[in-house]
Amino acid sequence: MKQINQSKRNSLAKAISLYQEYENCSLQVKNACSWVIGVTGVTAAGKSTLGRNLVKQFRKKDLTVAAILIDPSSKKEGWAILADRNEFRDPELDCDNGLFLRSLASRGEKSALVHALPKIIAHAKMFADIVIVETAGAGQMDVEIEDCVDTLIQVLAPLEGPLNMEKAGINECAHIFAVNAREYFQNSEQFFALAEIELGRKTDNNGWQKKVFLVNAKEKKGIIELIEGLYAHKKFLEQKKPSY
Amino acid sequence: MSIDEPGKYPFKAGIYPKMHKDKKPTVRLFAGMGTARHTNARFKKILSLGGTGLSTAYDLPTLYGDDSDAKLSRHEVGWDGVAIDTIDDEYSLYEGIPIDKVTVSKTINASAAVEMAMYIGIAEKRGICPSQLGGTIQNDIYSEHFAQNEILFPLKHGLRLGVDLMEYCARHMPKWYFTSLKGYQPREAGCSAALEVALPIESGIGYARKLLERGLKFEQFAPRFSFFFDSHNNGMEEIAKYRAARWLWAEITHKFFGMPIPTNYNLKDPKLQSMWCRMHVQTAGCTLQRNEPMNNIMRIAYQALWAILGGVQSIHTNAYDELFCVPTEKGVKIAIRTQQVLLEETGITNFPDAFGGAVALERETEKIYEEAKREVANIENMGGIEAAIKAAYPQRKIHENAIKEIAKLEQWKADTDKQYFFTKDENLDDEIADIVAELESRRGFEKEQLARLRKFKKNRSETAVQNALDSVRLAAERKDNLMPTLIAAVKTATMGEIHNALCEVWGGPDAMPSVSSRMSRDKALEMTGGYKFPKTVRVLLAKGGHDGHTVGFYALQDIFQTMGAEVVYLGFRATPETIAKAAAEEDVNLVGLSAMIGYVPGFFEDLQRCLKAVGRGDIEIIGGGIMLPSDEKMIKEKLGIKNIYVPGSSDFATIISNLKEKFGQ
Repeated sequence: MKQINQSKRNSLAKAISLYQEYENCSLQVKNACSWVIGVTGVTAAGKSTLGRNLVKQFRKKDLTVAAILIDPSSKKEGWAILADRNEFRDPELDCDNGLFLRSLASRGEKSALVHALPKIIAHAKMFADIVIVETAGAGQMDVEIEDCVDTLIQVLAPLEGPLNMEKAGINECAHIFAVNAREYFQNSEQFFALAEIELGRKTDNNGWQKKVFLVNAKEKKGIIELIEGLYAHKKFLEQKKPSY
Repeated sequence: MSIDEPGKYPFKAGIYPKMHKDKKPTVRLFAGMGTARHTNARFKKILSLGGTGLSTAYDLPTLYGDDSDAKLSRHEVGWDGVAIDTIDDEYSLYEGIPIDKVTVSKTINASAAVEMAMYIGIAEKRGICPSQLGGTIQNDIYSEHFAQNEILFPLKHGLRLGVDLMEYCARHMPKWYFTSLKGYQPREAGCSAALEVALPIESGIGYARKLLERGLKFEQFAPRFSFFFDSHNNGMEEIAKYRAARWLWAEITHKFFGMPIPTNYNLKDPKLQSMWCRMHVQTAGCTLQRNEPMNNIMRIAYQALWAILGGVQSIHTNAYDELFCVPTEKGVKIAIRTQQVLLEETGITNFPDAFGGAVALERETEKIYEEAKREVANIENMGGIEAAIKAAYPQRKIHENAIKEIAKLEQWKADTDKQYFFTKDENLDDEIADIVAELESRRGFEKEQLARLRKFKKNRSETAVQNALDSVRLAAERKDNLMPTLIAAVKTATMGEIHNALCEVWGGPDAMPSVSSRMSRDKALEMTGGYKFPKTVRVLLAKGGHDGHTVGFYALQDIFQTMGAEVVYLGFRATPETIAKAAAEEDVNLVGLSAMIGYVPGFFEDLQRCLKAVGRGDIEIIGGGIMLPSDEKMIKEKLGIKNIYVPGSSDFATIISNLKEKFGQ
């Protein structure tokens, strides 16, 4: 298990700033073995609430976590409100030194973040057992998040209207889908059943059969099952690629 | 234009036929500080001065359901209200006060159910049947979600707790007003007069629907709804507001809830009473000024006059020194005398709805009525108050108006007629010497209360506590009314323990929505003068302690946004340790800390210490809040934090120029 002490925390924080500020910045990075998990989904799908629950589970297993939370910047004026950290507030996590949380602004499309994100992830791997990257994905930045991560979860929100996977903003590359049932989504179960049929039976190029889970991030339902699904994918990768 | 008679539907001119000729407004003074015994002494003083009702102010930890020994309670215990952790505290609070005769108002919301359970407990101990108790408990959960942010649980569960209390009182305590629907808090947070009317009415509709679901009839509970409004500066608008509120509520009880338009006006008829918008009014705290604080006495007197002319049932006049978070004994006395002079010397109470029929007033009344009605319709169209809160609609409306007000104040600085407003008292130090002395003494409350709490915990059976908390958890999972379980639990468990148990089952509050909008940012632009940071600047915004006042906090968010900063938003109720860790990880250039209630320099000192402890003492703190000049001086000189903004006395332009110096043009 990797430790995050004070000097490591501050040096990682600084490194991320440098990568984002200077496109050509390169720092010395040792190759480190960590599990990188991506979480995508449209705005308000419940990514952060789910992310917080995942982090809590990993921390219970005593694994250190670095979570990178990406929010869009205003294209015209440059400002950004980075509010995801607020969603990670939790009595168990607020002062937890085994967790490193960092909010990033996309700083406009075609921004330095496109180049910086892989470097940031590689750097974070030196400090934490698990690196989680959370991004709204589609349309908000040009980062091809699937290239940067080992396991990609997509959070699907059963938005109102017809059961329309397109509308929910599907990412073909995701390994695992989490249908987030929220109290004001009336048709979660139906949506889940449909997602199961449309997405759950597909196999990706590596031979991984995709999985779909019904979770309720707010009420912490289905999280354990989802974690098991994540570990199943990890195991699949390890068997596929012993060097992983 | 027709003349409206008081006591006749829609009660524009007043709810009773004779109004103040029959019954003068209750002189209800808000009091609470220190431990139970300090407040008890203050209560007795108020009664001896001629107060006719009591009103309890609780300290922030109590309002947020925490015990005094919780981490976040530091610097706040007994500060702006009384600290209540246990039933022993509750007992001492009302000791020797005839609670079966004097009505007691309790300004508490999120933790109202547990507090009320304690009150019922001590009444039983004193041999008083709960049905004999008269008074009011604020217990308005909706408004906490759009204004004051005293929130302990997700909306759904917090509401259930509040509605459980309402139902219990409606069934067992016929004399008790179990909710006070608040227009005061949104108004203080900056909303318009019309929204101040619409929001509590919408909340009332929301609660009524929930109580109907529980099998009660409208007339069984609606007579025990009361409203709580703010008396602001603009007299005509204020008087019109009270009239419009009565008019709209009466109409809604008729149209939405089937109360018949009365024909014979039997004052004891619950259906008639259900149509009454009974109101308690407090003078507007947000209009009080630090500069030349004695002038506040005049502001308060006018505001109290508007309330009487508006036909309200009960008035709290602020103390002139309340802005310093005090009410000293001197301040309280003047506040009571203000009301007594109005009620006894001016003769105004002999003329119910004195200005009714005046063209200007009738027009203004109609305007506010129409606007409020439109807002009620807007919210109903969204699916009711609960849906509107989730969509952050009221929050955003309040914020947009609030930042307009702040920008207006900044413009006043250039207005030659308004210069008196900014004149600082040369003798201010002398004038507030007794305030400073009293505040100094408050720093000892924390220690005394912690000792009380330790003693209570030492003298009880651990098994009994665990059993009590288990029963609370079980009851929280089920659907039955929680009150009987709480009444039993408070005998051994503390307020904090009970809330933690509920929190285990229900979870903590939802994250606060962001309220920024194009309009609010345009206003912020007026304050920054168009300055933009020449490079990326990252800012972390946080608040000290429990306090949930959002006006300044949201304004800062907009201000930094317009300057092009990346603003990391941490949410409320973060300890200094949490803030420092976040600041280090986010590698920010600035931490903005706002603090207004409690020992303010303490919050800054703690944050500075924690930043040093995580190796980031280099991150600059900028701050804002309400504090004494001596505190401001201490923060600036001893802690070296030079950018401190105190509304009404600091110049925002100075902060902008300091930022320019730091980050370049």
